[in-house]
Amino acid sequence: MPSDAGQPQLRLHPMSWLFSLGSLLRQLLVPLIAVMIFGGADRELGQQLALGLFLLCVVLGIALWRQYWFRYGWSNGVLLISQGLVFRRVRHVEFSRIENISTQVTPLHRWLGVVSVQIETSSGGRPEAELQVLSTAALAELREAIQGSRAAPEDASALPAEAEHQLLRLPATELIRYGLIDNRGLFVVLAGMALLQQSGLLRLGWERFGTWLAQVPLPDLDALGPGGTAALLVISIVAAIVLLRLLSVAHALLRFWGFALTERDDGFRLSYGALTRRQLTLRRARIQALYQVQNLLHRAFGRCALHIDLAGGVLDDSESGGDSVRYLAPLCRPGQAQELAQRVFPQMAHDADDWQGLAPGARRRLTRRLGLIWSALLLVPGLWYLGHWGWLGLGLSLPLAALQAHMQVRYTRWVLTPEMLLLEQGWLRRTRVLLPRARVQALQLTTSPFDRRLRMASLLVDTAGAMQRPAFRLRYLDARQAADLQHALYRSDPVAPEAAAG
Amino acid sequence: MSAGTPTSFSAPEGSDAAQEASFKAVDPGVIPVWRSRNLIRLTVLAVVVGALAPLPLMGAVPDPARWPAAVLGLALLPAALWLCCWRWPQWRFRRLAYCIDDQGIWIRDGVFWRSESALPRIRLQHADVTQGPLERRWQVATLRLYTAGTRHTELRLPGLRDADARALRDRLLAEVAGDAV
Repeated sequence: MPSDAGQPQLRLHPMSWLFSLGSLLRQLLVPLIAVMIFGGADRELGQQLALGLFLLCVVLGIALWRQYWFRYGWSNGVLLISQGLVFRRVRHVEFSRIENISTQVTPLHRWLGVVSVQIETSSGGRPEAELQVLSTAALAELREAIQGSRAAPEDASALPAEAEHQLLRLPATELIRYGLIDNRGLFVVLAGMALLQQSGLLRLGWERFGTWLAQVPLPDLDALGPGGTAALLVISIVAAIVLLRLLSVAHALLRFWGFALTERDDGFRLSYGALTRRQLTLRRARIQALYQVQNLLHRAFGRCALHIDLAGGVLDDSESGGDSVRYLAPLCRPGQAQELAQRVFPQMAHDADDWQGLAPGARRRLTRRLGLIWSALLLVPGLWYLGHWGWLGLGLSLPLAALQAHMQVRYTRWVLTPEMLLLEQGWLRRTRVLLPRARVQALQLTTSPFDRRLRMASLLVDTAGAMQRPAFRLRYLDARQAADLQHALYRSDPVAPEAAAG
Repeated sequence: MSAGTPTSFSAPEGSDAAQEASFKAVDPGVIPVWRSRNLIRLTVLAVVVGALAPLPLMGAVPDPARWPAAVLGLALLPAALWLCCWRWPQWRFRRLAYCIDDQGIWIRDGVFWRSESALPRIRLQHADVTQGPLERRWQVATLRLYTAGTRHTELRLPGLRDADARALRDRLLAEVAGDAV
């Protein structure tokens, strides 16, 4: 057993310092740059370099110190991790509480034959423990220990059920579609800009661009006339859009290359990534809600996306790539989405006949509200730039508001089945939410003075992983129906049907 | 989606009336707590505004055209004071109520923006009783209930008698423990 009298004995991979150096430097990047810029403005280059080198040595020292005192091990079904000498911290993580061992492999990891490991439990926020980095053999050993302890009480019956079967693959053509739909190109450009800005190259680039622009014979541009100028503008906008989409496609290909979703007996496993290969395990019991999302582009391509909310979802930026959703499937056909939904929440009815809409006055109220917003948006700049013609904005805002309100009301509906709350909302970006009643945490019915005058109410349904803010806020419900819904959800059977069945 | 049609999932009949009766008000000791708290807040606000406002107003005061606005502002001040520090705590006290049933706890709060929160007992992670200096002075306490949820991880019930708050906390937690076993 790799621990002796409660003291873990195993060490990290000898090259671990390199990776902790990397993450330490990333944390220190902003303060370092600040020191360089503000602290070193009037210093000479040699001094700046010396300062940088000194800081690097300090950070390297910290990384080596951490690696030297880091120990891990396990005994009697408990994972032990001890860190530090001065501020010694020993952590005990019971194997039974471990929900997920997620791994991350960058090209550097691959080259050295190591893996970054995150141990996740159902407590929210940060991962419970990070092992940066282990050799692949050490990881296999750890996995075996954890899974071995789990399979033991259930005997051999658990083993054949462990067989995985594949639910979804995304070939390159689908990834290209995903890239075209997803607007991540903008994200890449912004990230690039930030990087350039930090390294000071952006200013240089602007200066170059300025001198280049000064050399362009502008009178030629004038000669094009207004039509020509407009054409040039349109061409450059189109070129920018095409470029952004191409970047999106490249980003999608890199991020989701070789995407595979497989089902195991107690959940799902995702693996994807071209450079950084990721593997995630999603236990079915942790999945709080499922979202089927379809925006305009999704509909044009006949696709949709499936997101999930996880209890204690560990979401750091590096994993989610800057957005706060967990994908079950970044892209799939609506038919496939329904099949997947059946697998996520089995033995539950996924549709019903008695869908309910919003309160009868909702359309009028929304029209008024949106009308106010649109008039404010259109009227102020309109009057400012166009003078009296700006009043036309008022005439424009009312039909706009009416259309939007009509569509929103039309595409919002909900129904309570014996096991689930189903909700559809959104007009341009349509979302269908599937929330098992057994996952509901707390309920809040709120009424504003306007609500009370029109006999309406909003119901907020909280789950353990509701990252997406407006997901469970049902607004403009009929007050009576909202109260009934609150009572019904409050009295739901707290035991999940699939748990009771299995 | 016609109005008022009975839905298939409607709550048990008559449960509302029974529940209505079982809602309990909190201790009136909470009113002076809120009053003093709002008074302190307003004082701090007044000091901050009073410290910052003279700078831009310096040029405006001699202008007689702005005097009516200034007078109106000064007249509104006592009204605001009366509303925040006298009436509003009374109104909120009249609204604030809680009810414990076999499933969990309901809390009703808010004067203009009203809310009615429901927390099934089985979802309760842990519970605290806290008491600030003002609350200690009037011998009330706040019961805080924590869930694993993300939006309403903390539900507050202020204005309970100290002993009542503790008893309520122990009762809720004991029943959770009982359920879990």
